[in-house]
Amino acid sequence: MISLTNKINEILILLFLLSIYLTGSIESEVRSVTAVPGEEFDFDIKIVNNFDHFQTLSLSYYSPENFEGRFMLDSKEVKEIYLKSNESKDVVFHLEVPEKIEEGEYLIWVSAGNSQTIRVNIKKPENILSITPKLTGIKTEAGETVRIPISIENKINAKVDVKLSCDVPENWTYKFLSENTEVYGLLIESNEKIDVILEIETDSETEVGEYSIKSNFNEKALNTLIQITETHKGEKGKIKLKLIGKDGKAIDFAKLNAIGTSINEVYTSPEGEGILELEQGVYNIKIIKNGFYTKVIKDVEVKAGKTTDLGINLLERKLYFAEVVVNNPKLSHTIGSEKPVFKFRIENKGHMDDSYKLVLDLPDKFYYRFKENPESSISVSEIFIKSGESKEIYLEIILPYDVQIGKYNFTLFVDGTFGNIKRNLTLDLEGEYSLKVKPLNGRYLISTEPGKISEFEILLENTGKGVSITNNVIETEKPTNWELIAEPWEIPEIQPGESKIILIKVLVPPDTIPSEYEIKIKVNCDQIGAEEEFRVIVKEKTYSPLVGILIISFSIFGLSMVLKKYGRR
Amino acid sequence: MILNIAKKEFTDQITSKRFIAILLVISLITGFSMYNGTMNFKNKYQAYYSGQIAKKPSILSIFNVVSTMGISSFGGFLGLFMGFDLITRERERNSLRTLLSHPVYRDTIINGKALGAFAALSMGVVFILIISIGAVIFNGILPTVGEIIGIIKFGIISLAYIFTFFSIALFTSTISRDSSSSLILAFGAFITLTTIIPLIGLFASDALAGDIPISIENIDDDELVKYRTEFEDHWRKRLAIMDFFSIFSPNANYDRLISSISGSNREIYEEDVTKNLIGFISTPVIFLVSSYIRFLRMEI
Repeated sequence: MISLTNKINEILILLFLLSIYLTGSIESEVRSVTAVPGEEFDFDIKIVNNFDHFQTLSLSYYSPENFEGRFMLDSKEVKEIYLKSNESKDVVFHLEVPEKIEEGEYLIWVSAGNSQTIRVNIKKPENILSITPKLTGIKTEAGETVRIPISIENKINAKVDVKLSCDVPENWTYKFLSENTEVYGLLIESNEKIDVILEIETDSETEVGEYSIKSNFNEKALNTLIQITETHKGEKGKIKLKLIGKDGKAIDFAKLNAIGTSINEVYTSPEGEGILELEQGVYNIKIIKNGFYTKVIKDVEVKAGKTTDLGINLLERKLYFAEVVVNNPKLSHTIGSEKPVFKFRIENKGHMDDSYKLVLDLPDKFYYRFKENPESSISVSEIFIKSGESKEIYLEIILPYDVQIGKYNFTLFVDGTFGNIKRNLTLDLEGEYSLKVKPLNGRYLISTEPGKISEFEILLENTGKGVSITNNVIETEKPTNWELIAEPWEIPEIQPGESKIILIKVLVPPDTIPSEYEIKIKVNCDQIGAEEEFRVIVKEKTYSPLVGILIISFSIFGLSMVLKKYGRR
Repeated sequence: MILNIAKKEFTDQITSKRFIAILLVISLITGFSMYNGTMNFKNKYQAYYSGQIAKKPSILSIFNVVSTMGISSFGGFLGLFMGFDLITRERERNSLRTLLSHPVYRDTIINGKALGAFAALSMGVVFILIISIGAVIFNGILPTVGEIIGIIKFGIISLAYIFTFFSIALFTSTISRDSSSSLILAFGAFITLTTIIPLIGLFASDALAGDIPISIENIDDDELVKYRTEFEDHWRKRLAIMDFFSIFSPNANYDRLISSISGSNREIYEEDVTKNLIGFISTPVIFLVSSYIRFLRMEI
């Protein structure tokens, strides 16, 4: 089969030579060249019309092994050329040597009237490329990126297509940059020198040690050493971002969450900044903020011990959205005082103005009214709020007359275009405990005599609201040796507004010196205590001054009698 | 005969302006003291009833005030004024010769005079006591039987106290040529016994008890206990010396005895007042005996 092909080639060459012999002449100074695979040549050829008449000469060539050639006249490829009688023209024969060709001698026939043979000796050079790195050994911290400038020079006369690759340790990445563009192949003109940068991103968890990087430029390889001086193995990485709205304002309190992880949620600061701490890996970060569309940032790489800055991210506001903030969702209220009032705020956080219907679900016999002003008597059932604005609403609860103490639950509904917001409210109704002790006749001063039993009545009054006072026990504080008896000394219960009368008996010992004394009535109960002081004036016995005066008078009289008796001489 | 002399002396004493004036002064001071003592007693009583103090106050504390303010000083004057011219006056009037010209012994004269003066003093003391009791009852304070006995004891001790100074004055009257000399001597004795002897006791205690222990700053607990013991020993020694000298002072003995019956003894003094009682009784006895001997040997 091969011998048949060779025969056909020989016949074709013969026919080719015969044809060109009959049409014209061709002249070229170049007879032989040495070339490398892929090299291109331009040969100047002079084509002459040797006849006395004009003729059109076909320009052709014959080459083996995929040699490519073309005739160029004034930078244009030509296939035929018109020549007047005895006219000649210079054309350029451009020959491209195949890149994949074996070493050896090849013949190229160029014809235009007659033919010219050019010998091409193909030799493969040992060093096609010259690779010169500016750095051969680099110290760095794990997770850092190193940049190695490399010069690549084409040392042959042919263009060289250089394929760039690099062998790096596991989890390391690399890229070649040429004029800030990532490249993986270069076409370098003959004798041209191109500077590239090999950028290698080391893994944060790389152990401390020396690592070899092999950069490949076609068959040429370059070894560079990178020494890791500090590792971040086991450390967490951070994702940092800032959120702003379309209005340029920072978005605070937006929830940041790494999808698929169990870490706690993180919220942005008032400046809109948030930082998530995560294990090394690649994450999808979800950003959630009420009133804004949820956003997911995909494939965020986190490197141990490093911060990945996601820069400023834009969140888009929803058309209709509102928030209801209740200032006092749990309200304690004392029965009998002013009406309980819940205060809440509706914030229209959507793009559009909206109106909101206000409804309250509440227990039987309870009534309510929404007011824009706590002092106002006008109630409202629907509120219009412009986009970006908010309004304070007061919810006044009207209690039934016979309301009991306890906890009551209410549900507030705010209906807007965006939907419905529900808030649970709790009203804790309490009673007021108040117990007063006072004398029945209004006098806090009791007069008595030594040895006498005095009685007076005191009033125990439940002045509280809504609650009974139970297990009231009377206790007394009295002077030594005195006796104070309370009848009754114990009262099981006093209803609100109810009063009980207690009889107090004061037994003053007979040897008590007339003076003013103090007694204290104390009431202890389950809820609160009360006490009151009373003054007891112990007066002299009615006959005491008389006896005293008699004694003094008697002694004076006696003395005067003695003086009279013995002085009369 | 002795009763006649005593009666005459009694009459002379109670009708003398001196006696009445001093008795009046003592009565006024007693009234004022009673008022103060009663108020003080009522305050104490209220404090006792309100639980502020544990010991029930005694009515005798009122009389303690009376003794301190009135009898301790003016009682002494009364005794002195009653006795300083008892003999000198008779000599100055030459009535003693007249009296001795009668069949009467000298001892009868001096005994009768002392007895009469004692009767007059007793009457004054009883008068003051009755007024005091009347004032207490007037204020609604009824004394118990025990308290009445205490009041009687108070009266007896007060009478003995006044009589002590009477005996001193009687002695100076027997040794002096005239009444003015006797009065000067009597007052000299009064000042010596009531002021100078206690002062000597104070100075002697200061000199004999040694230096007072000095506390050092930042001492530990053991050293503090030691310091306190030394301090208490020092004061006990001083008080013992002062107590010794106070035996010779009638008013100091009187104060201690009155305090012991009214239950208001200060804690620093010993409870036992025997030596004070002996000193209290021996002083008038010594002066009376001395007066007696001196009068019997007197040249008239």
